Amino acid sequence: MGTPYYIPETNIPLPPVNADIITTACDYCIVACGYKVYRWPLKGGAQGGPNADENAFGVDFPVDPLGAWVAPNQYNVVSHNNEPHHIIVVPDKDTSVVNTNGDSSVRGGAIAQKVYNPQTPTRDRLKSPMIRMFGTLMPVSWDFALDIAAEVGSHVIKKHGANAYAMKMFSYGFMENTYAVSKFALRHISTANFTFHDTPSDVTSTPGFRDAGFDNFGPSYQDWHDADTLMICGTDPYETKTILFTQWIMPAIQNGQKTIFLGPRRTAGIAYAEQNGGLWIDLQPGTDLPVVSAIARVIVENGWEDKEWIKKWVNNKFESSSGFGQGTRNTPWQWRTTWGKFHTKDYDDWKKWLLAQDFSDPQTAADIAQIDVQKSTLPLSG
Amino acid sequence: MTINKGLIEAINGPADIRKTSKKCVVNRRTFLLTSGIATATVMVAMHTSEGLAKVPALVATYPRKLIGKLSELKVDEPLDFYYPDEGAYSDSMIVKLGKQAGGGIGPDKDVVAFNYICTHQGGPLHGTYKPDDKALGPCPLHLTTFDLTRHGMFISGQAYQSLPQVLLELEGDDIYAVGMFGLIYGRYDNLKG
Repeated sequence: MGTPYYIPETNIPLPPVNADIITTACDYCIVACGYKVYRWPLKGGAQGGPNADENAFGVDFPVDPLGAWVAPNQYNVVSHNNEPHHIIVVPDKDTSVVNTNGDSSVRGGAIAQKVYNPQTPTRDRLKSPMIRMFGTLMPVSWDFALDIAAEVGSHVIKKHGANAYAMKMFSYGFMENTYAVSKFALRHISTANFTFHDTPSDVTSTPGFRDAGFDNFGPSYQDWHDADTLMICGTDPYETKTILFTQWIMPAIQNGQKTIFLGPRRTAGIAYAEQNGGLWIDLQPGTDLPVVSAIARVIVENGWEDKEWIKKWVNNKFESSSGFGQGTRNTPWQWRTTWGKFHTKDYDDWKKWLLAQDFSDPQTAADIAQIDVQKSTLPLSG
Repeated sequence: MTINKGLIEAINGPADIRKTSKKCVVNRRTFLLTSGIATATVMVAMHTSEGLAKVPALVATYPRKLIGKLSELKVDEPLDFYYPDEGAYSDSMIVKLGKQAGGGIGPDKDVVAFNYICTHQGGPLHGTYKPDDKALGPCPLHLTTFDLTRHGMFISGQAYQSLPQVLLELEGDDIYAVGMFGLIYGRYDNLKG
């Protein structure tokens, strides 16, 4: 039975030398940290010992700092081949990329807790389709549920047309899922009412950025580390992409990276940056746009932009129009209907537009965001 | 199977406390009682016998160690000690928080003790006590911070578990460490290393 009241455990079983070892990746955020699962059967009662030659980690207990310690939250019992098995899910100490040396967030660090075990709160998991009958949700077979879904779908398409069949999917899931769902929506249903991830229709979430010729997934983790100045808007990666922060950005801050945060809350990553020479612009929620525009305006008014880089890497008008497969240019009909209709023609036209906006005036932007306009002009210390 | 009302009370707290929002701050008596009953419950499930003594078995196996005097503790001034042994990662601290805390002893229920090693990757939390927040941290390795008023639950960070709490007993003016909640970093068993 599950413990009805939380009593913290004070020991864990160690994996024996012959435990199965499976490498995997964390499924919480897109940082994709490496993990290892240690699995061995309850049957037989085998357990590892505290000496290096007695456990699957090959280390002596107690382990060193940064070592192969197993927190009770990283242990569970699961059914594998219809037999109960111990599992331990821990960050992979052998990683040389991403979560180097086996660092992990609290989310990834507790993956073992969400693995299905009917003796834990995971018993609440949805295990079959549910259909509301006589006012009550009842579990039904997949065949029954799919028959109903197909009938309803056919009816909607016949009566209202394919675009009445809307589909929303997640795009960071397994490639097999992404491929199958996309093909079903775009080829078989042929609906334009289809989108993925965080967008309301089949467009990018960063259209201007993409149209200017940049890929918003361009930077490598090394780039986050190597940047001299890093501006982070509306998020604290310590909380949202923890390993990107603690393995890549935090060491950079220690080495003098100027880190600027725009955000309403002084979260732990922001507090750390502030104490180590960074800057926190404590704006009101939703006012990033005028603040970023004002910063850009100060840069271009002073001619501080990297002219060479802009010339080489930023799209001109023809490049924006002819670009395909990015942003608002994902499908042939989008490509045709958006040709030449971008907000600005090129960098110089964008600059003219920026200087004409009243909200890009630093004092106006500061008033909107309720921040001290002088704060942004203070030299960064440290 | 009928549900034991005493058990429900032990899980959710006495009826008058249940109405307040302080569910996560149990007093020492409640949590010792609860750990005793919950332990007994597991046994009941296995042996289907009743009437097991409400002795907190989890606590009984630890050494009882004198660590200081209540009258000598000053608010927000932690004192260091070793527990449950003097081996690796036994560094612990006791502090009078000046604010009621989960598991707190003394007339103000504000004296608590914790292990010093971060339950993420073993960073040292020595010297990181923050009087304003009654917290330990941030850890120098990855910045986890722990709330000492709530059984060492983390406030922000990466730790896999709450900070292990050293269970205390007061006898006159003497404070004894008598057990632990949670596994100490680096060990696979608190009592075996």
